[in-house]
Amino acid sequence: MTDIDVAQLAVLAKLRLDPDAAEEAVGHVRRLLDRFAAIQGVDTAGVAPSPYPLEIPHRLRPDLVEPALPLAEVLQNAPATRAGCFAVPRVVDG
Amino acid sequence: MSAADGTARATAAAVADGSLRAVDVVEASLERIAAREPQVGAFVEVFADAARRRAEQLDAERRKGSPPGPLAGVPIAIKDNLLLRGHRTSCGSRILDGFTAPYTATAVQRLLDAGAVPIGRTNMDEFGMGSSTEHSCFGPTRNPFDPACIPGGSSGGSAAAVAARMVAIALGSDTGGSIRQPAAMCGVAGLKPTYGRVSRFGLVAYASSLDTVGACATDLGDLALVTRVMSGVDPRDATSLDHAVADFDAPPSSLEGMRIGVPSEYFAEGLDPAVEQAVRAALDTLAAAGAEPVAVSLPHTEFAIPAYYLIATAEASSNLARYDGVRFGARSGGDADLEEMYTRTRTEHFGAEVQRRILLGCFGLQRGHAEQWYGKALAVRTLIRDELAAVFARCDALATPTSPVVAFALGDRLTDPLAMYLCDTLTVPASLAGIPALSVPCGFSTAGLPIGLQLMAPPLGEPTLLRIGTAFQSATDFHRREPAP
Repeated sequence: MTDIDVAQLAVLAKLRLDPDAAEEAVGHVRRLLDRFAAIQGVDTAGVAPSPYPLEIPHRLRPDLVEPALPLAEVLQNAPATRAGCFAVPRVVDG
Repeated sequence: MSAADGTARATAAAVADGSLRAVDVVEASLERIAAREPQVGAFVEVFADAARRRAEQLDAERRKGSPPGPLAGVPIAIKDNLLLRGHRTSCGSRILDGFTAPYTATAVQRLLDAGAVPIGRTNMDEFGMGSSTEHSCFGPTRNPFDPACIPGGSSGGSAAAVAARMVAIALGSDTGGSIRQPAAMCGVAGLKPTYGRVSRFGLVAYASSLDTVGACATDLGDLALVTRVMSGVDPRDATSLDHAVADFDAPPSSLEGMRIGVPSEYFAEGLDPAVEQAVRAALDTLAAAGAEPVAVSLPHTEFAIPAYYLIATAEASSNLARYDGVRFGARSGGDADLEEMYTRTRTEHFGAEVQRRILLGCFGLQRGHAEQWYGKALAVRTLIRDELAAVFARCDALATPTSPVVAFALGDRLTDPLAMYLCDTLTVPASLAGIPALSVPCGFSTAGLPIGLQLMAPPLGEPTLLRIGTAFQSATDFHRREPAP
């Protein structure tokens, strides 16, 4: 059975799990991982990982300034703005 | 015949030569939506006024002599994860409540440039995470062939809109089968292009090494046209392929000399006997059309679901980190400290399935686990891709069922994530390998629910898929069967 530290996972995921939700979530995740554990038996010695499915050559482009969204449109969906910036709760004193 | 009843190509040709007005085409589509939407629930928003205005503009431009595009006046539904400037995009999630797109996705823009008319945005599983279109903050979409059943997912709204003949073409996205599986369950065609064939700029990211943009349609010529129009390199998507766009919508030709692989692992335990019977009959049809079926084996197929879900959730946990209540969407706990605001925003606005996948993804990437889970999945992906490539060295394409089951009743698998994930068993290998795959209708269960035939080809093999699919549809009428009103 896969060992799962649900409290640590919640911190990484930035989610709050009340005790009932945590129990259900860890149950589901554990059941999935127990099923997925079958891949541990696959011989992958010497097999290169594939982060992408196809070989896509890296393309370079000229380092030029191009038009960007106007500031008002960048900010239009923000829950809170102030002085042309995204506003968030205070993170430093002063 | 009303304007909305023909193929998109016929509609566009009639609008182009002035025998049909775009405003009448749009009106017919809106009438059809009004009649069928209460039962199906395919749309989360219909752009009625905007569509009428655009149609009037297209008609005026034609009268002035502007050359009409190949999709002139054709109403197109857009999955709710593709951006259209000035319209809402929500991905079926409360966390994007109130979000208005500040720009248009490249795939959508290319359709606009071809004369298409966006008619509305379609329902989906939240951020594409689901196989039934039940995981949406707007509620479920229903299968037009049986409203008690799911339409498949996550592009269930798009597939249902086409199946109910509200539109001829609907855009979707396919990460692990999200176009093909709902297309199969709704009795329409759905094409997942080669990874990188269609730009993802403006597609809200779920799993970046797997996400693709494609479409559903009843007519394969329409599907070929819309895919061709959307395809091609895009400077705004570094993963888009710089490759000449083939003539996808070439006339049908014989399948003489074509070898079609039939992998035994796709006909394994868990396959509905009705699905197997329909797909085996479809293989006979392809053989009668000149193709040579070839028995092949893909032994790593059984590891595709674990590899897919470990990779997709890992990438999702990273992609969805951007939803933190700062730059867009909903916010909770704005008076608390920053960490508390992040946590409350995400906890209160992500649905249960999205939270589950983020947790699974975080687990697979966690220090001490990453090599064992995520790293292993990436190596298994290599084996699956190489195994497919080896088979394609001696076959032009593969033919399999699209989904192991037909559409099931709403709620049947909602509380069992593993059962839901297993719906994707036959579609995720193509996603892991980045190859194109097409689902076409190939039969019905005794309960009258559609069954899909999946065709897969090597990278950039869309023309091969459409050639086989067109030959199949020339010999069958499953794609013409409409759900009862």
